[in-house]
Amino acid sequence: MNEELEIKKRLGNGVNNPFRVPENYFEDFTARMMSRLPAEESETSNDADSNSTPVIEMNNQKRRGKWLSWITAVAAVMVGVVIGLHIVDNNQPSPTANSTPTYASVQTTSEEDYDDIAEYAMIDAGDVYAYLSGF
Amino acid sequence: MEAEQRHDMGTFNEEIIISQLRDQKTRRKAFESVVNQYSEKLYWQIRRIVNFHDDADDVLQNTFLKAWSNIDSFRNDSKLYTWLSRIAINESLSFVSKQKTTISMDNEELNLAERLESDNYFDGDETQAMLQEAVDQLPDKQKAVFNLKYFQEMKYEDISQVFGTSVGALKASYHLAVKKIEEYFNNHD
Repeated sequence: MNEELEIKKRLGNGVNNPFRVPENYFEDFTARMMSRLPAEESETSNDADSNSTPVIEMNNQKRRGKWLSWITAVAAVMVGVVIGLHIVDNNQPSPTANSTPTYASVQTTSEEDYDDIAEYAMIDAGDVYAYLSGF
Repeated sequence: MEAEQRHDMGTFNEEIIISQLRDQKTRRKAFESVVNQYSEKLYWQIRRIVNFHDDADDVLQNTFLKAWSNIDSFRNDSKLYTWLSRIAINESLSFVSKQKTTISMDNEELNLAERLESDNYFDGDETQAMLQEAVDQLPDKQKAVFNLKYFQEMKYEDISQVFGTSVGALKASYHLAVKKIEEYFNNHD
């Protein structure tokens, strides 16, 4: 290949290696590398995967995920109960309201209440809507 | 050829080492032999892509850490060295790509040849620094193929195992790389 010969000609005899490494770098590398591997205890306890760091991260993520879903579920139940009470309360006959409230009026009242409840429960209203709509 | 073995921890029998790697009790010792056997060869592969010693050292360690954590996914259909080369090249290219993003974010104009010439661990001349710069400008795959063929003097058949690509495609890739490097030199004469 002409181009390859041209490059080799420019570089002189053969392929020289212009790179250097610190003294004893290769001699010391194996010991240094082995000391960076996860300890033996974690290898035996985690038989599925020997790399402890990602396993720990994954477990933490799973745990965090479980807690979040629990908190969301409890918050959703609380919100549901309060909303339910409000709806029942709104359906009670009152001297000023219509005896048969329309869907729209219930809806408006409920949406306003969501915000109040969400603020009270210190959670984002968007999370509540998302949870209730199943997303 | 750059990759020379300086260590000898007894005879390295790949078949025995692989079976020891599969056994939890002997895995660590076997892996030590693998590191000892291939660290230098892999280092030079990596160094030719990342150019600087500290970066090559980091990438080499990450290569072995990745190999260690994925040892169960190693299949006997390729050689250990081929498998490790694949990891090393992926790690090197990913390192370079991250580095390029950082450099472009910093809006920093860096001349690789100049940086190499001022590096304590580079004692090549201007032409060798220019060659590294020319290689550095190749697309990732061409860069890796050129390095393995030109500097590591690997056979196309072995490179094809590393990339999972046909020998024909590799030859085309190498030819293009050489042509671009020659053009680079011509433009900078």
